[in-house]
Amino acid sequence: MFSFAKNLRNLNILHLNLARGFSFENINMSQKTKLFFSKDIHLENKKLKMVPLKGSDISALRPILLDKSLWIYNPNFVCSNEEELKNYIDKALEQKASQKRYPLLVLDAADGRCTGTTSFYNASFEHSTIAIGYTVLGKEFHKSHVNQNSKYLLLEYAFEELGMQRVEFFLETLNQNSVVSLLKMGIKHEGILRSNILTRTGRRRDTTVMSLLSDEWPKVKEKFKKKL
Amino acid sequence: MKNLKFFSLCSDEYVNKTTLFFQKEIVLQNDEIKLSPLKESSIPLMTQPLFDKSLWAYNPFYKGESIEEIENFLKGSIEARKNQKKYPFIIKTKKENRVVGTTSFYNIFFEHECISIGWTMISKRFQKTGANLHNKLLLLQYCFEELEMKRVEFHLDLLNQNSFVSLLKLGAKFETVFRSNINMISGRRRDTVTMAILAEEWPHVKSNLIRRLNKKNISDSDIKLP
Repeated sequence: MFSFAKNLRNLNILHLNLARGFSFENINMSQKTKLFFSKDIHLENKKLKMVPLKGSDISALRPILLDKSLWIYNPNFVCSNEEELKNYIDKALEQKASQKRYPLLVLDAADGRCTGTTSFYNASFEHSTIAIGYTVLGKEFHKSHVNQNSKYLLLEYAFEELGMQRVEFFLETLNQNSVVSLLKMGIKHEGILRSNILTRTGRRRDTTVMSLLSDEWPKVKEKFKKKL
Repeated sequence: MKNLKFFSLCSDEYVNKTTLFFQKEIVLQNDEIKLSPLKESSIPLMTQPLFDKSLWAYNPFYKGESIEEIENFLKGSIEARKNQKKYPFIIKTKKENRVVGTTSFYNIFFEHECISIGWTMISKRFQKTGANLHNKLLLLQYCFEELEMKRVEFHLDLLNQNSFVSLLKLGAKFETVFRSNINMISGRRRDTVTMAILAEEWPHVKSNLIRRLNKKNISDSDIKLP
């Protein structure tokens, strides 16, 4: 089973969009998707800056992400050496090329220090939904402003630029820190998908689903603004 | 059905499992009903039984208002099998070969041992006859006992309380509501209920289903004609 699971890691598994079943993506919408993935997304406020992830960013990420404890809840990857990190970045860029995920590098706006990476994924312009996730921040940024600011910028972009109606988050249910921090931001807990992912360790994971709808965004935005 | 053994494949060939699954002509049957892969040639048989607005009320993408639209839905389903997105069946009665409706497998993830059952439409005269219970029994048995899936999912419109209740009775557990996650053809944004049965729950669900079916019999003589 373990060798079986290990082999799967080469394939990305963004299968969480499943509550829609399947649908026929119309041409108009696939144009929008194409446009989204061809854009250079730059998001910035006073504290934080996000730019598209590139292969060369490995040198900036290496010093902060080669820490096993950052990867315990990642179902597919653990990066404890440079090769694994390179593989992780390559996969992220492959997923961008196949229009599955848009990975971003998160930088401190003040000094340009790299703080980690995050992503948009499961973008559906047909249904006006997108997911935010694949967030890995260096340990020293965990209790800082970075996560708050990055979520603010991503949500603002999703609702106000992309015109999304729903932004979703899928989390390892054991990762209570992340669940709590999203709850504090005002993101709603929807439920738990039981045993829906086979992780790299062979354990079957429960996935917590959380979301924010466009009509809830103004309130959440206010809250962010007060805090930030 | 029994000769279906994908599982002897070695691990790096597992992607082939999906391909094999979609290529395989899956036929599931018992004394009452028979499920076989939906074919272009069966479309003419199905348009009349499915030409009923109430069957389409919760379909996000089709209104089912004309024969042509129903044909498009069925053709689209056959196409979706080629794209490995959905595996559609035609359901018929075993004895008289009458069309009961259609159902599908979709979201098939061998890497996570998950599969979904849905896009089920049972024509009015076979509703509440036990036909759908037989259908679910055959599908679930195939998922858990042949494909060895660990999780079977159901997704439904939050407004579709009939299906919700019948899945609860079946023993599927309510998990979550994806709020506002589908743009329907009607313009409504749909809330989607997710329910699931896990492999360890299957024996209990199965015995319960069989017990219920023993009380029912869907042979044609029992069906009140309109």
